[in-house]
Amino acid sequence: MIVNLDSNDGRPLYLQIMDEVRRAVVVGTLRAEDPLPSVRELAAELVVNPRTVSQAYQELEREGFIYVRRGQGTFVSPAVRRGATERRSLALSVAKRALLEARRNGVGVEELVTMIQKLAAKEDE
Amino acid sequence: MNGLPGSFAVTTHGLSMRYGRETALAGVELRVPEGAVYVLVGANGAGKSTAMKVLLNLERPEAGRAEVFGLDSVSNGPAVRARIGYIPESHEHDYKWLTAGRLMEHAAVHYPAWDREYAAHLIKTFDVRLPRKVGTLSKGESRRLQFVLALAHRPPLLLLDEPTDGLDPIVRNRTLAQLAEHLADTPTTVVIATHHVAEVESLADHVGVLSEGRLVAQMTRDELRRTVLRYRIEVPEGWQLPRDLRIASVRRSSSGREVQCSTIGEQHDVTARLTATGASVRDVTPLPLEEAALAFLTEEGAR
Amino acid sequence: MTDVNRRAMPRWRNVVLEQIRIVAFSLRPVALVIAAVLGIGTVLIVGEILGGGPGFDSRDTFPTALFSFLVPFAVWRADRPFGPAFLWTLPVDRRRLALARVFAGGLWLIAVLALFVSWLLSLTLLARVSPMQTLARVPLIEAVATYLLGSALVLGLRHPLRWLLGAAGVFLLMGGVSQALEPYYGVSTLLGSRALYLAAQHTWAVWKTPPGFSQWAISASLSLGTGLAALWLAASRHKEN
Repeated sequence: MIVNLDSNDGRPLYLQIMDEVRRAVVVGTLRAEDPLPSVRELAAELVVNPRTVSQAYQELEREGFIYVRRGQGTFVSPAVRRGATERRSLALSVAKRALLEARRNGVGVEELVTMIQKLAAKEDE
Repeated sequence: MNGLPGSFAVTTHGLSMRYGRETALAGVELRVPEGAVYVLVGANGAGKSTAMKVLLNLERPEAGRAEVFGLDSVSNGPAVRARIGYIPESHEHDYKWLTAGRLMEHAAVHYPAWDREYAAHLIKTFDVRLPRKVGTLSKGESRRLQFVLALAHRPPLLLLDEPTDGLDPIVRNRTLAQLAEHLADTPTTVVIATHHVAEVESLADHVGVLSEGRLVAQMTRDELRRTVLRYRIEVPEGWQLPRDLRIASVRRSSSGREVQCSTIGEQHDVTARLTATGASVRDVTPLPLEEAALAFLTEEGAR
Repeated sequence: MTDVNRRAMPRWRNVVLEQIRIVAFSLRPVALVIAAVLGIGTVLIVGEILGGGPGFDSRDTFPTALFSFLVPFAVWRADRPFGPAFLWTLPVDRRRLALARVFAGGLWLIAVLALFVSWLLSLTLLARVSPMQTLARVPLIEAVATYLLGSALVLGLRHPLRWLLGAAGVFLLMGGVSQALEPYYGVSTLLGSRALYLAAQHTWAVWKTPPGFSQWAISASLSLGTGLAALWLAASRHKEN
């Protein structure tokens, strides 16, 4: 799993990490029962306070997304599939960001939706 | 203080210190919670370094006192220093004719908590050549040796004064990554004084801003993120900035109809205030750590 | 996980031993100089003796006291006692640490003096001169006392060299003044300069002649006492509370 943190993203780091984990699952890089990097490893890789990584993992555990196997580490929950819930929460994230950008540039919602559909159609060609 | 949540690793009470006409510290009330990575930010002045030196009792403040894990830094000097790993601003070591290895042995004698295996691991990670005489080390290698000396006895408090200074960019990241690993292994409170705020942004979870000796802001990273925001607003003709807002910086477009300002305050309140004056808030974004901290400095200057 | 409340402190025995080892490092150049001087001295003296000359005189004096006075400057050359020295960041009582350092230097000094004395004794055998008379000229107690005094200076004064030069300057001035005021005996005595100058001359003279036991005992206790007292005061400047 490759995690990237965006320094321009204004959200708390632990939320970003959580989203990255969810993204990895939806995209397929992480599957059910796959191990996650240890808090230590991820903290060193991202140069982030390990407590932040812990917080992200704890929240994900609370949501049932991941679980801890005694003495072996943290793993993606078996119940997790590239399923609707995860995709939905990611879609929500993406949509929020798009809407923010649109607003910032004075683009209306309907216009935005039309543009997205047009672009998607073009890509399919 | 004994590891309970809500206890502070460092507390200062009304710390004041002057060097001639320069005020290094003025009534500083530091509160560094246990386990925090606290970044101390401020203009180039003696303040940040002085605060650390006071904790080590290397400097005696003119007024006020400091406590480390509840121990007074003056009356309990040795006990306090046994709990501290210190990287001073200067990269020079005193005993220039000792080899790096011998200097480490010297340090090990004074810190019974010295972890030999960990020290060996640190030497490898930081790439320190043990047989080299300390006086012949380059600035970077000297600094890396200081890291080893500070981390090897796993102190509960790390005081790092411009830790990445003298390290070239690639090494900087590796060093901070090693620090992150160290934090994962050892419950540590870290206080970092630095100009290179962007580098430590991802590590930091607390911020303190010193301006001309005064602690003008002290809060968690999250609070800072919520409190210092950039507003992009559309304004009518002849619109003036409301005076009762804490504004750090302003930019106006040439047409005068668009304004961008960095403001200190809760988003809800600031938006309400701006809207009340006829502005329309188009966009609110949080700021990176450096800019957010800077807001407090420029706000002070503008006053 | 380390309990913050129980952080082990280093044992003094280890601290003192380490000081002895570290001071050895800083005195190494001094040792080299001494070795060179003694080496050359040996060659010259033995050469003279073999050539039929005396080579060695029981009236020769040796600047051991002066040498010992300067040793602390070498012992402390790496640390700045008045400043953020690495020494002071260590988790130990600072006054005690300073005294431990002085003690360590003192041990090495005694070792050097012992070496010097044995060198001297072997030369006296060669030159067939009275060893006791020669030894009497080596002020060992005074050497320790001046070492203590020198240590007190380095530890106690921010700028010991300035004070030294200042004191030397004052001394010379007083000497010059008393010389100049010779015809006006009364005035120079009033100023006290003459008395001071005479006292200095007298002290120097005392060092030159082997004293009787009681004289020696008094002088030894006075000088050692002064040295220790000065050292204690100087070290106390670094006491934390």
